[in-house]
Amino acid sequence: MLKFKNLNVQYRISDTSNASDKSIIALDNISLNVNKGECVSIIGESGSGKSTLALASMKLLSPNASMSGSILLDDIDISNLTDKEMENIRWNKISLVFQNYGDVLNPVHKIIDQIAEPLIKNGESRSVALDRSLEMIDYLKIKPGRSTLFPHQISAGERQRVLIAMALITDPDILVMDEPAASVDAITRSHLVNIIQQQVKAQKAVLMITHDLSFATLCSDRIVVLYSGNIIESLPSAELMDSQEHPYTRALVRSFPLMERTKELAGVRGIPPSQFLENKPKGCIFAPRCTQSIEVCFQKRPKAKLKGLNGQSEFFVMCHRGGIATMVSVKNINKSYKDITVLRNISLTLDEGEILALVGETGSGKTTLAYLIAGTIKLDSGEILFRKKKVEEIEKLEFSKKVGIIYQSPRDSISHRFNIFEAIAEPLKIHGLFNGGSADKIEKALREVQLPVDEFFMKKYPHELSGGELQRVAIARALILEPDLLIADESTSFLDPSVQAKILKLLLDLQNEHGISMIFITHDIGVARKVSDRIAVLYNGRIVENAPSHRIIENPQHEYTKFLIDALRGSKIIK
Amino acid sequence: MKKENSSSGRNLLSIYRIKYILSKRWVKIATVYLMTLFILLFINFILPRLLPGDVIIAMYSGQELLITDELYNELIVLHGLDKPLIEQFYTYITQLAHGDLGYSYVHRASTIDLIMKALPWTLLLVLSSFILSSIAGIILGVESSWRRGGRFDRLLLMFLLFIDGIPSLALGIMFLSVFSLYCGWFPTAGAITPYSDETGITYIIDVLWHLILPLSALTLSQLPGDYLLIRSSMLLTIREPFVLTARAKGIKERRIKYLHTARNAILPFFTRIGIRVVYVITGVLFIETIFAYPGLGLLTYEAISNRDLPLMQGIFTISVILVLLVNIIVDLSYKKIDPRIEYA
Ligand SMILES: Nc1ncnc2c1ncn2[C@@H]1O[C@H](COP(=O)(O)OP(=O)(O)O)[C@@H](O)[C@H]1O
Ligand code: SF4
Ligand SMILES: [Mg+2]
Repeated sequence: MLKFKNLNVQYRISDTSNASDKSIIALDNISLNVNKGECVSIIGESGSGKSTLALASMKLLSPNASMSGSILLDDIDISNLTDKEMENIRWNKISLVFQNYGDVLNPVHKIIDQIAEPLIKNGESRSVALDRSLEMIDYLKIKPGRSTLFPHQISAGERQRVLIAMALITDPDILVMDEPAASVDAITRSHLVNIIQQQVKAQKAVLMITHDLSFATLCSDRIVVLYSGNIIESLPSAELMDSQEHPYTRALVRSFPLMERTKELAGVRGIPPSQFLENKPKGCIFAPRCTQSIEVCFQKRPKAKLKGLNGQSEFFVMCHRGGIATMVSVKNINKSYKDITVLRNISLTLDEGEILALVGETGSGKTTLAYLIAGTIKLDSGEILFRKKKVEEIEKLEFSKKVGIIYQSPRDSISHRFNIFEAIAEPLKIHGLFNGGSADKIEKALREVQLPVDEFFMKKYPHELSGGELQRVAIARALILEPDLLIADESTSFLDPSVQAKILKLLLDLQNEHGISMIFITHDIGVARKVSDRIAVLYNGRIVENAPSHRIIENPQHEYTKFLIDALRGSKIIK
Repeated sequence: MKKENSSSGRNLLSIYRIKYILSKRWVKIATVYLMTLFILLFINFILPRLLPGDVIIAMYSGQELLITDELYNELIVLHGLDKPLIEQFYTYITQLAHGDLGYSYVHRASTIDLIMKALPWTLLLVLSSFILSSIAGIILGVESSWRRGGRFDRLLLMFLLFIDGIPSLALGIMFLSVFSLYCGWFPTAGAITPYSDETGITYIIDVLWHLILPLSALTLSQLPGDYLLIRSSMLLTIREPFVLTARAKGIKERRIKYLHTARNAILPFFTRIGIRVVYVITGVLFIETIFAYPGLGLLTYEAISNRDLPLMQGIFTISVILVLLVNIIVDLSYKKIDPRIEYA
């Protein structure tokens, strides 16, 4: 069993600008257990401290590192052992598969000798050690002829497997692997998954470090997310892809290219925080990049919120809001115009920072639902909550600041009597926010939607612009008040495919940069799957399906959804 | 043949391939060295003929010899200097191939005999000092770098830097005056006691007794360079990931230090062997002269002071061949030392 308790690691680096030293926080109060017969994966961006944790587990941190807290290998606390005392623990109790870069293997020794070395050190005879190493080489499916070569004579993927063979040769109880799948091909990767599962079955404690999320879910039952030296979430691996709870985990998943993923990739917005000790934030470490931060996030460190029914301590999320929060929740609403029922008993939720696509044919009630959420029309029964408040109880003007709408045709949202500048300035004026700084703000908004910012352009009138340009103006107008929710109603359908592609990309980028939530209304499930995290299919005034986009596309449940997808694929001719 | 399945067949094939590549490499190396040798020999041949003044005068200038016009013409014909340059060069090369390096009128002996008598002493001195200085340089450099910034490291570094600042000439004179002249522990000149006719173990002891001082002085003059090279190379190598790997594997410290770290850190030692040989050769020139040690260095010194041109040329030729030989050996063994080297 491998156990870290309140582990802190800082690196001292000399600052050349003034003679003093600075400290970098590499690991901040890490507590983590890896039990026998269990594989735990650590995921996180590079620089988050993964390798530092791996090195700490063997007390191999570089001399400029200082460490506090304890590291337990079974019952031995190694945090105070000397190098001499560690000699017998290293590679006998615990082995490490080093991150495979540069000369991790000694360039002047044959690989078989390097694999056999720990055995010989343990007093095994040379011939036995070499035989065992050959077996291990075979186990890892390294071609037999490779064993007498030097590290530079084999491929990076083979070197990776040599590193693993070297770690397994003494059959230690604890295995730490640092990015073992980073340089191998897909077939080797699945072989590695097998090997790791076999090690787990053999009652080893395996700590897997990887930035490959799908590899993590394949190897381990539990996943721990590291962000800037902090564990921010610990979750069952089955929940990683679709039901993560921390906003950062979601951002990480969104940026990961998955086989089954349909949506465009989006990077984590903003820049990683400074790791200097002197800049250590008071509040949540993720707050500057978070899509749902509130005031307390900047004031206080969040505490772990345990997950699961009985609050198992191994699954938790570190967030003041208890993880990704719900922005809008729609409960059992009905709506009819005169005697035509448009929406029947609709329930759905929209998370902070989420993109939900409402898909359905014309007249299915998509726009009505959107307007109900935006509070511009009244519902018949049921309730809609926006951040836990009833929409109809929120002050109208205030609420219109929070929700931006882009209509199907920009000519609906932009009066033909306004020039471009006035059109974008209008919402500011309505809310009494127009002032000296507004011109700059409008310029910035135009830049964001990639339009010119010269006087000549700003004085143009809507009829002088193309459809694509006008839609960009509409987006700038919708975003000028910095809303939290953006509703885009068929707002790209009338554009030709190339312009539509550009506008979609722009919308996605802006959504990601501003970290806002979005309801994307479309009749085209093909477009929906490229832009949304989740798709809700409306049919005959009901929601017939509501699930993560890739699930809907891969495995549609409802006949109508299947019909939409088949129609898109053109595989079935409809009567 | 193509679908050879038995593993022995495949091995055979690979051995042939390796031999093939080796033979190509051989050809390459051989051509380079032959060209170099040829060019150097040509320089050696042409230089005296381009010297200001006259070859004959230069050749005999060390002599109390009155050169009449008649004698002069005779000498011209004797040395073939009336023939075309190409023919002269051809004669020069054929003579060389037969081990004829010319005749020293000063010593009244054939140059090759003089050189062959001196060469063993120089080889003894140079080789033993080279080996001693390398071993000491490696051990001291490794231990020093391992304790970087510690007292051992700082003192050793200071001491050897100090030694490095002393010219080998001064070092030799110091050794000679202190240990031979003042203390009288060691002989002041020669490589063996003259006319003693010792044999067996007493002969060896006699040789060593004469060797110790010049050897120590020469070794000490080489040591700082070797030490500094190893130390700085070690300091870089210590930071390599494979050293951390070795530590992780729980390998004993001494094995990490020498087998993993030093084994890599000595590589520049070999790449720079050419330069180091040149250092030793200049060093040996001074040391042999000071200790009147009868090697090539002393012979060179005498040849220069007697303006014995044929001898100088002979020594130059032999030195060139020796240095090239050393380089060939280094070249051929380098792949064993650093497996990453591929001769493309
Ligand atoms: N030896 C070191 N000296 C100074 N800073 C270091 C050292 N090793 C790592 N760091 C810093 O510590 C942080 C964590 O690094 P690392 O553990 O390598 O992350 P990861 O493996 O997740 O990419 C980074 O900011 C990195 O720059
Ligand atoms: S909501 Fe607050 S506490 Fe939670 S991740 Fe965002 S900034 Fe951190
Ligand atoms: Mg790393």
